[in-house]
Amino acid sequence: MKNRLRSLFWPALGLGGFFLLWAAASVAVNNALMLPSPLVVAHGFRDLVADGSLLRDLRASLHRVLVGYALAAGLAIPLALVLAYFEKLRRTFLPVITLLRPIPPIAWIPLAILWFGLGDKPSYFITAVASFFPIFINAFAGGISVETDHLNAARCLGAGRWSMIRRIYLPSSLPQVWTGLRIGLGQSWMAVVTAELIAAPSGLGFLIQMSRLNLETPHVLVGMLVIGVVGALMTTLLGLAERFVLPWRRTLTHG
Amino acid sequence: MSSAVLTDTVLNARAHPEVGRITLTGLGVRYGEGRSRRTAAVQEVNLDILPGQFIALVGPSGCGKTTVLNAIAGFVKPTEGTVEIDGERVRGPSAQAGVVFQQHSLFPWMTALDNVAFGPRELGLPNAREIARRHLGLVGLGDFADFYPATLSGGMRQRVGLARALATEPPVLLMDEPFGALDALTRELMQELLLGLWEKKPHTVVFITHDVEEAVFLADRVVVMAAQPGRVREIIAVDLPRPRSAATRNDPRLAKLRHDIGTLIREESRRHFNGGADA
Repeated sequence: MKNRLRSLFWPALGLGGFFLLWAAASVAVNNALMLPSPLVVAHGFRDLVADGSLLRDLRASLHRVLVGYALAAGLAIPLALVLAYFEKLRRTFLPVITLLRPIPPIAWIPLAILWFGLGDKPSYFITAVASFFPIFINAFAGGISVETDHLNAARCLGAGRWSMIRRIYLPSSLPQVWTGLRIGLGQSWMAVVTAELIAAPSGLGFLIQMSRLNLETPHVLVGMLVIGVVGALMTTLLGLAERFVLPWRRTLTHG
Repeated sequence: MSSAVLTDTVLNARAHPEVGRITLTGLGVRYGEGRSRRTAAVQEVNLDILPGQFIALVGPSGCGKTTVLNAIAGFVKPTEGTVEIDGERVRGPSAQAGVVFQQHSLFPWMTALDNVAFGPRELGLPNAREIARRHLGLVGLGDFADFYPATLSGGMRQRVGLARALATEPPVLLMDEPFGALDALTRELMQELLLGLWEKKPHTVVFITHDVEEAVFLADRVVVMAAQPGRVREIIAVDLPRPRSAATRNDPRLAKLRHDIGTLIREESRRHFNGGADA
């Protein structure tokens, strides 16, 4: 217990310092439109919670992220593993991936609006695009990095093709698939805000955009902070889930 | 009385197994593509290894020891000649030959028990877990069944690797410097463990090592290979009595064999080294 408290000291110092610095800066700037103080933002947070709009926006954003992310994972992981497994398919399709990958999600927004209009659908598309590539790239790396010794060992223990896939290829690539899923979720979360800034009538990105137009800077900061907190929570949860997904790595995981 | 006789017969049958004969005839393996760049890893290797024999392969690095082993395991295809186990051509990896690798070949996502049970399960044996448990016990790791490889020491991992290779009871056991990465003391204990298991149930063993003393201590015959191209230089019979134990290490015959074989390998290495410098 004492140790736990002690381990919280430094993070608390860092976060406390951050808010103090922010407060000091807001005093120095002395203009709530340019930089509202933490206290003013806290009041804004209270108001937005009270009228229910923050929860509504948060729910809208989370929903879009989860749908887009699930679509991306459902496509990227099987595709990556299949391409890793079959050399000719890999040679055929990898150049296409290489070509599309550098295009940032935000550049897809015009097409997304043309194809899907406004609302949830373009956001699904953008969040899916954002997490597709990190998930794909990592899963692919996992798929091709299966160790020759593992394959050989399995073969001379009598493993057939199906066993090789299910008991060697899949678990062997799982750590990297998992890495991709972790990075991908963060990317989706960041992309949903981008999508909502432009193409949605609700969500945290929409909250930020509307508050900007209404010159309600405290609400802009509420939106930003909620995005930050939720993103950090997602990372922490995935970190905690890792010991169940990759139990053999338990001893190697930190924090 | 009759049961004693029966036991004796069984033991004798085990001491002289009928399966596990390895025959290499004119084995040659070339790597690489294109006509000009095809260098021979090994050439004209002829070996007849009798069932239940323990063979050690030694030689300077680059002499193709691992290539020979990989050809027997079916991991590489001969470009010339044939590899046969019990008269049957080896056409790829199969459960005929168990392999213990240098290191890092345990499946890290499986517990020790699941690693050892992998082979029996793939062969469709109904009591795979019991078989695995028994083999873990044989290598002294009965208490570590639920441990993942990452939590085991190097010596323990190699013991799990040995148990895994033995669990399918293959007629042939191939070992590629299995103890090379272990400290000297652990290595000696592993050698004694291996001999103990082998004496109870003599598989045909082909064992690669850099350590001449290890080769002499373990093997019936030591095959000394030469490099460029990889080929058999000499086959030396080891006349140390069995069963061997820690005491065998002090046998003057062992010292003599170690010296003779060491000299032979050094000669080969030097020739190869100088040849390489001239070229």
